[in-house]
Amino acid sequence: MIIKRFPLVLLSLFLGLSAVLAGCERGEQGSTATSAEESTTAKQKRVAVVISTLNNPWFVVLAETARDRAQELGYKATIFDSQNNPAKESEHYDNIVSSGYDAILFNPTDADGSIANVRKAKTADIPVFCMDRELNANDVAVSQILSDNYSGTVALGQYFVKQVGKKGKYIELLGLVGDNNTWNRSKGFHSVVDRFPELEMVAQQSADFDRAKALEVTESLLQSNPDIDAVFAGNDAMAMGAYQALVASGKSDTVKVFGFDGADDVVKLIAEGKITATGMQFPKVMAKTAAESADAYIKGKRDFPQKTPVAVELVTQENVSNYGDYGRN
Amino acid sequence: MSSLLSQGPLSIPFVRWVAAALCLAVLLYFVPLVHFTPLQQAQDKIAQAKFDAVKYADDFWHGPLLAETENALKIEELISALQASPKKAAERYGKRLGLSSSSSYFIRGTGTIISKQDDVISIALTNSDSAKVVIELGPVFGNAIRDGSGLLDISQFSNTQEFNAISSEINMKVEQLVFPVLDDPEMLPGTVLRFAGGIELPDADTAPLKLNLIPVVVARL
Repeated sequence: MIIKRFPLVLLSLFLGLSAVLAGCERGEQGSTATSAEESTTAKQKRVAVVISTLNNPWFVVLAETARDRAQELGYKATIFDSQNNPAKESEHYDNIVSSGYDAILFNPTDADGSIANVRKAKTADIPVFCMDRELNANDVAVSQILSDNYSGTVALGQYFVKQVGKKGKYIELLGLVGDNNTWNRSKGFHSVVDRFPELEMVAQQSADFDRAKALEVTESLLQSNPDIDAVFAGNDAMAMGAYQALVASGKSDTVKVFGFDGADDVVKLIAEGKITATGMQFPKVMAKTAAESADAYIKGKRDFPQKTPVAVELVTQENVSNYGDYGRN
Repeated sequence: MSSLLSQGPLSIPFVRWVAAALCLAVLLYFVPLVHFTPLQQAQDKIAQAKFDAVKYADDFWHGPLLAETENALKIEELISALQASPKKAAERYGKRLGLSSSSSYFIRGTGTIISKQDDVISIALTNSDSAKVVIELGPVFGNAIRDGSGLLDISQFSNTQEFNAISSEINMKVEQLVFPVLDDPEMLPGTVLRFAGGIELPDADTAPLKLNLIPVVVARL
């Protein structure tokens, strides 16, 4: 009988051991706290900061500001990097839910794909506060603090027409196609530029908000479109990649580059006259607002606006001295 | 088949299998596991479910927005408040979208066209001879009407793209319905007008000399 049941017993042992090991792994992932720290902070509430990617300085600022503000407010805060991968993000959510975090400050990887993760947290009574990137649902996150990308690129588009003129050729580098910010930026820009039929977009391609990809894509687009007058990039990392490609091809003095984010390296290049303009988002404002909202929620507040847009400001050579360090000086 | 039937006692399980298969077939007929829909029908359904910004803006314009022009702030009140303190004027009369660095206002008033040059119409208010309001004919951008009216809440929309599309369509309506009235060659300097619309002002320490109006209503008096 024992021999007959042996495979079953072995299987049970294996599954049990796997579950224990998986639990241990979940407990440690994303956390740098030692066991001593764990014991001293046993009663300290915990906030998870889940960020779409840390492979971009702008998101690092968003993540670190959220973490630091949460810590200032008395929470133990841990950053989880989703590496722009919805599956990774889902794993983080499983870990966060099973570890019983008290709130999540969230920068989603996908406006639709991330909804299920937030729903998971909601079911476990963990409040989620979105930062910068939007979810296509109004009933999952407690609140969404978002950049007003569309209005920002409307202003950028108007400046683009002033600088490039009402006639010319340009290329557009799109961000992640599953992210609403990509399309809000593109649509805001086109709501202006498309009113001038002689401004011709000769190519539009995604570079996933990534500098290296933008360099590659721009190099390739310049081969087939050597006579462009401008590049509109959906974020500053891509603007930097495009600028690098233009420098390499000897066209950086004649082709105007427009970005979006307000990243420090781009703001510096605007001051030097090498990049024409960007839209300054305020990652620190968004991150602090999200952390403070989570704190208020934990303390009992329940009345939050579902969406809080944060204004984007146009940064040009004329006003660049007013900006720096991911915000206004 | 004939060999199975000829097996005598084995025919009972066979009949049971056939009966079960028939039941399953009937069940699947009424509750299909897979439902096939013609591609066009599916695409039509998606299109119907998609937010129709043009229709929304049209209903909004001809419904609540035009009605709200009757309740809009008198422009003289806004100018006087701005001259006293732009910050307090924004707090009292302005609508601010989220954490914005500008405020929008919804105003109404009467005045006289004092100049019309290069698609820029300057209007002096009644009992004044200097231009206080400016209307620029041409493409309209921004959210002065949507946000100034204070009638739409971003949280009511499933995503910001819908909210932005409404603003874009409202601006298009200004170009299509209001600007032709102003573009009329008979709208010459000296014409007395009634107007209402949105104004967007960035945060500033001093009051602007002129207010750029995005009009919803313009009518000769």
